[in-house]
Amino acid sequence: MSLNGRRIDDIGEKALARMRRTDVGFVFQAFHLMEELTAVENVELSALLAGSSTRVARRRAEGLLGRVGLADRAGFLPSALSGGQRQRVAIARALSNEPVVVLADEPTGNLDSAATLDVLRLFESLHDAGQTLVIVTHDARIAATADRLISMRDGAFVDETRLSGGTTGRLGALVGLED
Amino acid sequence: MGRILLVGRLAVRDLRRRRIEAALLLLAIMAATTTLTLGLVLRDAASDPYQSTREATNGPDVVASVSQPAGLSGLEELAGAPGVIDHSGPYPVTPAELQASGRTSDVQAVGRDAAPASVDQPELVQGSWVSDGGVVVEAAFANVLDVRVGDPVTLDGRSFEVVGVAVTAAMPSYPEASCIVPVGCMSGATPDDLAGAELPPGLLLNPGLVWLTQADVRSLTPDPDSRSYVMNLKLAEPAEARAFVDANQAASLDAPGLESWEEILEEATHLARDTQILLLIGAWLLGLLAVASLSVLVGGRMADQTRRVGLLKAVGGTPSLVAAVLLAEYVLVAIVAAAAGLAVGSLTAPLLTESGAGLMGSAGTPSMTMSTVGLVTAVALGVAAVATVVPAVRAARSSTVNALDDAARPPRRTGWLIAISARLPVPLLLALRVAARRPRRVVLGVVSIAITVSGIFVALVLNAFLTTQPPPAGYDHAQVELLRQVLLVVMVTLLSLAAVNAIFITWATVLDNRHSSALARALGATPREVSAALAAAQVLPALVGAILGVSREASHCSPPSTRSPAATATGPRFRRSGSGSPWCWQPCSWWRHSPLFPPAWAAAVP
Repeated sequence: MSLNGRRIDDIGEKALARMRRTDVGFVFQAFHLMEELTAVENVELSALLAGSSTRVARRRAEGLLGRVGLADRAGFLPSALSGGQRQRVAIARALSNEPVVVLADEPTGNLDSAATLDVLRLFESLHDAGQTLVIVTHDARIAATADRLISMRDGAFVDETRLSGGTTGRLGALVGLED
Repeated sequence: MGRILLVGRLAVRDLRRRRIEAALLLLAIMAATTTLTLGLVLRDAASDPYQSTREATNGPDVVASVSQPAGLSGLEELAGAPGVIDHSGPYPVTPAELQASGRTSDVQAVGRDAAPASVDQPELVQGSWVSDGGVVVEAAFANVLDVRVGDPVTLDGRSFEVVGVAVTAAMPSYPEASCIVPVGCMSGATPDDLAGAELPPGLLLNPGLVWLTQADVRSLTPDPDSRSYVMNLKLAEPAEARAFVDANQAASLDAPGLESWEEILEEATHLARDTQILLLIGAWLLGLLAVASLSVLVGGRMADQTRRVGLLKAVGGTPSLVAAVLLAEYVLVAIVAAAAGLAVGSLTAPLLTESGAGLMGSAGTPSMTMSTVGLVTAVALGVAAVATVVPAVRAARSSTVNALDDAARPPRRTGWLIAISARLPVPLLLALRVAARRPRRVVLGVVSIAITVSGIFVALVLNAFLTTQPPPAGYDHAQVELLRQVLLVVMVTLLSLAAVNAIFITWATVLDNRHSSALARALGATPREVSAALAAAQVLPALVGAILGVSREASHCSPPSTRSPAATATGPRFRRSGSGSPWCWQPCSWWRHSPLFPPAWAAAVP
């Protein structure tokens, strides 16, 4: 397995941690936000762990929250946010250190359809901006929004399909994700 | 009845499921109950040997002394004072220098009749009573000098023979002494105390007590004006002895000096009482530590029992039933710990109640009194209740649905700590945020370490004081060793309980932070940073606790200093002798003024 031309399946824990800091962002199905931190504090945590100064980390976090449409929720605790809003905070956190790739594990698994649509639109905007996203999903409708679809069964590769049309184009309407 | 049985059955079953935790709970409470039992048993045992001696010798209720023959009229007036039913004396007393077994020691020599007296007839433990040319030595003094019946001694150069060894309740046993000679006495002074001090001529240093015939005393001191006199009084109401002293003690230097039997008791039994004080202080410290230990353990157990609480409520259990089940576990443990502490304490008390050579009877251990049993049990139950009532009530009031979901208790948010941590290196950032999630646990950790360090600090200072050479006043080497052993036991117990506490808190913190630690790793923290953060989250509160414990004690508790005379908490201080001389130095038990021995606790130590 390699990332940016570098093998990552045989590196040590320290190198893996560095990789998580700078090259990879994670979005989890269960959001995994720190309950006691506000939205902006959750987002800036990645940058602080990467060694950014407090001011830089805070400024970037506020900018990212604005990008995901949660600028007015920066001071809210996760318990005061809806599921979709929490996932957007998690996405903002994943983007905090400008990773090479964002890995999303069932990002819409705990969301209702409206929140799912919000998240997918956000992914579309990120992708349009050049961010590489790798999404793991069991939902065929979500899978249909991807450029490249890799199917797996029982942990083994099955096939690969290249798609076009993006998330909310004609294909998105076809699979019933439009309003 | 059925409900009680149900509660009991559920409590026992849960304790059986987690035997190690139950055992640790038991040990934590038992440490406090054992030490408390020892302290309380010593309280009862302290006065027994003195009371035995008082009964055997028909000891006086009040001892009166004057420094000159001119004061004899005052003694005769006292003999006829209201409340006095009998007396013996007045007996002449003279200071002398005794040489025996190659050692020289100052003594107060009291002249007595060969015939037994009705009040204060010293009880012989060896030999016979005074006769011309014969000296009877006080038992503790004889023990230190290593003299026996038949040994030759000299008094002020004159030869005598030891004809007897006896105990008395009219004066504390050696090395304590009531000063009844006009030149004054100094008990317990070390060479450092004497260096540079201007001492009055003839001052007796650490005097012992001997009895001679009145004729022999007069021959030692031909000048009658240089003899003092002592009289022993018996009162109709011995319990009124202090009141008698207060009513009849005149302010004049020539007036008789009076000492009640209670004052003599306090001086005669100060070792046992000091040991008792140390044990009670240790017991209170251990009790506080046990509360901290239990709070952490109970908090962790409650978190594990969330689903069980939900199940109980889902099948119809009321919040009060749920609280009763949760509390019953700890009440059971507390009762067992109280019983075990009482048993261990009563079995080990004889090791600490060894009486001095100067008092009659073996110390033994008095039977366990109901007040001791009641107090120890109440303390054990109190410790358990304080530590468990809040978590139990909180658990009982929790939502049934949430409890069945086994939802973890959400962490606290401490905004200012989070803001500060953002400016710190990664390990400290994570450490502070770990601490901020459970502030109560952090406070428990700080308090636990502060109590432990505070107790150990005092114990070490006391130990250093006790190891001065020669021994501090009032103690011989064996007694010093006993006190040091008590200090060691208290220190080891404190350290053990604090270590158990630290393990509890660390374990609870690590389990509580599994998710956030994994998340930090997912966001780029290295394993070393996470480990360092968890370690720092324990070390930093411990450091704060240690600083608090040391700074508190260091600011209030200094060891005796010879350069601070007359201070109530340090060094030797003056006490007027019964003969009216101002020069009667008595070192103070300075640790009685330690903040660990507050007035409220003094009430528990009569």
